[in-house]
Amino acid sequence: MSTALKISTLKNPLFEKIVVGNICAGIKDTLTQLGPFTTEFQPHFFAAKWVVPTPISVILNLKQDEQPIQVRFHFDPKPVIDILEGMIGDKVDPESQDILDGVGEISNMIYGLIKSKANSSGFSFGMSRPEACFTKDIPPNANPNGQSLVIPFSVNGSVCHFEFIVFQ
Amino acid sequence: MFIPNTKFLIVDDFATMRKVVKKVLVELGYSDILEAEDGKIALQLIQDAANSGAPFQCIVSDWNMPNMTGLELLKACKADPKLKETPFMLVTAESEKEQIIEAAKAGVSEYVVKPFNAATLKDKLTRVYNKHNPAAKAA
Repeated sequence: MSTALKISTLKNPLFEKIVVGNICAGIKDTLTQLGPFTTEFQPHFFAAKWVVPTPISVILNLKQDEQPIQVRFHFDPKPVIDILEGMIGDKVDPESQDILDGVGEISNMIYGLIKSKANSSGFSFGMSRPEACFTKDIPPNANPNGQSLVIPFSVNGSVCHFEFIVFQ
Repeated sequence: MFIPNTKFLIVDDFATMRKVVKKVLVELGYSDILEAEDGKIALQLIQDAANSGAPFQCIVSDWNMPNMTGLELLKACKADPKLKETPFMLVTAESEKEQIIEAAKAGVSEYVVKPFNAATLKDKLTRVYNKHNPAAKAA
């Protein structure tokens, strides 16, 4: 969409101000609706390479005007299990595929709200199917020439990360 | 509201969301509930059920799915004279006006934004039922 604001560089004051705000609001609002979860945010940072400290990740492959972008969520399993058990009313095995399916749906809901908020701010974020995996299974070369905006946040004290990657 | 032996189909590529919707339907007293993991599989189930004389009486479908989206499934149902009157609710994580309009134009009965709670889903189901049974609403 030609009239949409561009996401060509992450270190753009407009992008930082509006989109970081939309992302934080999307995460907080979704988790608040899912249960009694306290969400807190730490200052965002930029990185070409960084080590993800948590074992579960979700990837959404997106495009804006043919520019590939990627959204990744990185979760500590503790809040994921708490959220899922609240949603389905049953125990979740942390070693099973259920946790990957569930974290994909949680990320889908969070990103859906972020997308709605960002698009109403003039951006044009697309949608794709979230792909969940164990962080160790993300290929090391999956982020060539990428620049990441990383927003650390905690859910009931457990640290998670939102990552927005623009490929140069 | 739909009677207890209503036949439901839940369509979602994420098993977690299928479990969430099924849990609410069971809590509401329904037990005839089938599941499909994408629109393509769902369409086959819907057509087979209609041809067998025991059609689904309400479809609750996700929008964003591989192979065939919920919107494509809705349009396929509306294009089939045997299926076009089937109550169809779309469930989605996106709440943009353009999407809601697109779904309404395609003939969706109701539109639910995730995450939702049991009360919201029950309210939407009541609205779907009333929309397809105007006499019940008047009574």
